[in-house]
Amino acid sequence: MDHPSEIATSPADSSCAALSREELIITHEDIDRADDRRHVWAMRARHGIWPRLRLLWLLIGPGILVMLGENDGPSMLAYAATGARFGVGFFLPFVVLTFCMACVVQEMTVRLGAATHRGHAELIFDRYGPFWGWFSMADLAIGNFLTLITEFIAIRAGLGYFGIPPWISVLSALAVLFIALMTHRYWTWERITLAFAMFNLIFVPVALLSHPRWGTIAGALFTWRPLPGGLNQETVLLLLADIGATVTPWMLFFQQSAIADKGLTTRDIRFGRADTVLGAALATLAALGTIVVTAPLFTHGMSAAHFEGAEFAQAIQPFVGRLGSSLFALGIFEAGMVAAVTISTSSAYAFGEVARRPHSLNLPFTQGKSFYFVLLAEAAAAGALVLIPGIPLVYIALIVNVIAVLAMPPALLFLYMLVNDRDLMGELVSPLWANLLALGVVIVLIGAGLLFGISVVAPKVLAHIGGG
Amino acid sequence: MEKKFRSASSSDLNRDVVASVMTSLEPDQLIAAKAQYHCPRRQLTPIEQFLFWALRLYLVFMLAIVLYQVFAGAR
Repeated sequence: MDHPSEIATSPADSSCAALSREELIITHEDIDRADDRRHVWAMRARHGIWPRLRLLWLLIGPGILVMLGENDGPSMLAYAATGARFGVGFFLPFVVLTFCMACVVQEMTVRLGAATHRGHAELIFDRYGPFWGWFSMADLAIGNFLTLITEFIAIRAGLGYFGIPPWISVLSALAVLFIALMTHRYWTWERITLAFAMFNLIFVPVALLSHPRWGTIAGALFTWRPLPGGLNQETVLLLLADIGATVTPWMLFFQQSAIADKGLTTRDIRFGRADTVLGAALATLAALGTIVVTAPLFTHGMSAAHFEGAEFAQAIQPFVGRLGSSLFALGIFEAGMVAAVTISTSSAYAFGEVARRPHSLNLPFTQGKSFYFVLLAEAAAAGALVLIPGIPLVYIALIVNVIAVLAMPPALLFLYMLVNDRDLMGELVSPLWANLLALGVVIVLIGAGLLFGISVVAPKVLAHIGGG
Repeated sequence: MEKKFRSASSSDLNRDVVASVMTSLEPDQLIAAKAQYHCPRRQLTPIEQFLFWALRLYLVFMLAIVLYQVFAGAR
């Protein structure tokens, strides 16, 4: 089974029309993808620990990118607001739980992408028709655009700490996005974005600079203390913002499309899972670090209710020093930058899949004009909006995360049905335990959404329920 | 399709390149195969239709609440 010609092909192969030599058209994209796959096959044929690690290196990417990409501007601001408002008591284990939920959800996209070699939007349109397909696309398009705005808010806030004017921040971010695309090669784009995404861990050294009390952190992680002050509108908003910081619809579309673009097959699913779990672990570390960094604001009774991104960096300076607060501001910038890249890419993938236009990061500009246009135009429009002065940045960021949580249950229903579709997945349909976990995630998300609804419509009922 | 993707047919390409692509990719990974074959549509069962509509209404209702909160906050 080591040679590609002996591969057990995916279920979709059986129904794939056999192409004659005349019909066979080899695209630039095919050649690039085949080149990447050749390295994978060569490494798979070798034995030993180093070839296995090298194979892992070749196959990781979409999972780490999606998880660190989701540790985006609004997410890091939500974690910062959480630490400042509630300390570490309840939210450290809560954030770990939300990343476990993200693993459950994203693992399904790994299997779906590897088994079908197709993106999420394409499968929804093909399988359930344009009526439901357009609903799904509308959710994605609106959610992605709103989230992109918040990414540029984070970029502006992060660089604003260093006195860089907003228009320079936005233009610089668009230039970075453009440069990453100039490679016209999925592999190179992925490695550049991965390297950049690793800077998300900058929040960990900043947390260390705050000299955290390890006993308190360990106690918080293992005892899961109740919410200080009980449930109220603000608490529920932060709860939802933290959930929305880890599970959102764009992640489903991005990871499945990226797996198809990277060329992963059913034989790579184990590595795809490892990639996802590794990404979740790194993202959890950064998220916990951010909460720990701003927790001293809670301990010292400093109100962060009206903080914007850069003000968090200034406020923590007495606890982490000038270096720490500068790193924190850089981290906020980086979080927004990486997510701007991944989210605009997820929109472009989905557009290409639905419009049946070429959609791959392996495409030269001339062959992928619509793909690159959607990607860059969406980012540019979002960037332009944040130049409007006087926007309540953190509030918008929290609300966008809340909208992401509310849009997740319908998106998860599509995913659940696709991953349990035996015609598409064959033997790779979800086992019972995976379906139960997915159902648990849906129940948590709907429950959180309803709690938010109650907090807005009937805050007294919420106070009665939560003892606030 | 050729016009859309502006790529060479296999007869125009070096034999080694074609062989390399064909052995490295699974048949349904080829762009030509993906463009030619699409997954067939399936009919939703009544329960599935109900779930789709229920979650759609849930989303619309909850977004209305978010809008209400945003406007209430702005006031």
